[in-house]
Amino acid sequence: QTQPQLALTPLAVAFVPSKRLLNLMNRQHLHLPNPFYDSTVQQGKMQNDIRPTLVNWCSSLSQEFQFNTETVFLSVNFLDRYLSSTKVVRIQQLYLLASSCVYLAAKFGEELKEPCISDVSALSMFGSSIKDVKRMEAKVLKELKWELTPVSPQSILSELLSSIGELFPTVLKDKITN
Amino acid sequence: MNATQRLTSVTLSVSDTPSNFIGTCRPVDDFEKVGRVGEGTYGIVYKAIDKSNQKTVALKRMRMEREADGLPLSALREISLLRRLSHTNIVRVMEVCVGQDLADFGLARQFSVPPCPMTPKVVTLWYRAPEILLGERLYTEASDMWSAGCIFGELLKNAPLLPGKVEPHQFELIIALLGNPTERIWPSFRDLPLANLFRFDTPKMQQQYSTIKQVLSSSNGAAAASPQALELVQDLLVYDPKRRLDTRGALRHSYFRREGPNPCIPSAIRLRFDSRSGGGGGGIFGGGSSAGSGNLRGGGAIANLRKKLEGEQQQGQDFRRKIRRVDRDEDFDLPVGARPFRQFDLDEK
Repeated sequence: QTQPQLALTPLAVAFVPSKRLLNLMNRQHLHLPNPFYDSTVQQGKMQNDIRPTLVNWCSSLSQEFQFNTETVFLSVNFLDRYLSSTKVVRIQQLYLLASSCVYLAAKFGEELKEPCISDVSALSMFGSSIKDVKRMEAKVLKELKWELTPVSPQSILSELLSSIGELFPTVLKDKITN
Repeated sequence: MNATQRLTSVTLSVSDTPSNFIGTCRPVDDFEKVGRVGEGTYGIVYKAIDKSNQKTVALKRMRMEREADGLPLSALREISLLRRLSHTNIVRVMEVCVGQDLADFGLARQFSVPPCPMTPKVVTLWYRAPEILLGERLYTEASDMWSAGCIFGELLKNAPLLPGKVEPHQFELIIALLGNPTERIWPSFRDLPLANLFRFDTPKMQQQYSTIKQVLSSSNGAAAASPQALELVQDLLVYDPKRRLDTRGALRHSYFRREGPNPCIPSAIRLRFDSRSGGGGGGIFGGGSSAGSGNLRGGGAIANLRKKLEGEQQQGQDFRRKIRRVDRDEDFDLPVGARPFRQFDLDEK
């Protein structure tokens, strides 16, 4: 009786990427922020630690609403892309922008937890009203040209993992039977 | 704030490339409405003329009255996904006008595998698959195939196939058309979240046989569907999503293979210039329609046109051959060992 050889490493498997993965990879360079927006668009007026703070804010808001990690990636992409095209000076506006980006990302990406605008407004750092959030939402959409489908590292990773998952049982079976 | 001020409108055009999409929030007065094309769950679509260049566009006015939550989620997804798509058969978003005044992709979403839970409140009721009606959250592309079946049936019948008013009514109509679901034909349906909300034991819900043949045999001036067409509808309107025809299977269906006219590129579609009035013979939907044939009678112009069409039919056949080649080869665009990575090009954007 021969033992099936299971000493395969994942890398030894001839990995044929799925169409979805190829699609993501072909689109990954689209809808990226300008990496130098801090010095160009914002003219160096942003405080050093403000971006990490805003990203944290996006992340903790998403956590509060129990959104997916994908939503966090999406909202940070929206935030950076907005800041790549429009100068924002006031800290209140920056927080409002971050909250609106999370709201927008959740509307686009969340399936089961639709965000509620009054919650977003209630959880805003500087007491933004519902009207403020709506106005900011429209502004963000306009600046992003309604292109809300960037490819996040997260989406590539999960696609990669799921296609490996799809691939593995059959490949292993083939190897064992041969 | 009055109602019209809260509407959003989207301009769609089938062929044009969007010129200056960004930020050009033109007032909706720049477009002259010519007529109403249709009405969906999410808004009304008008045919309109762009006053600046006299081009015909479609104008979709989104319903916003129920939305306290800013821009409706469905509009957001519809617009941003349509922005990404570029195909001659899919409308192109030209402009979005938000603030004052402003294709059914309202609940389109990015595709994911494995399927993740999604909201069951989707799709115009008439085209909603039974598993979604029963609250399935892990629905798949099979649900779209159901919708395709409903629309194909609608084309054959010349009237909506399942025009339900509310969810229970929708289910009654489905049962009246297809017979009631049983464990044998759809093993898991009683496990679906809302299965116990629908009462399957009422007389209305008891129907043993499918009546689809009678429904599509002759109605509303539409000619009787051919056996192959009927078979395709039946294969699409299967209760169990796992047994429903998928896209690949549908393309291989005998309706497209054994029954003329064969699939071809749009410019090579064979028009019938029959001098005999009325239908008869194989039209697109089996019975053929007489619409339009009356205007195109007689003269050498027709002969020329026919000559041209025959030339194009040759092209159509070549194209068909290509299609066949493509679906013999399951993963034709995935050569093993090909580099999946496109050169990362900073200059491109």
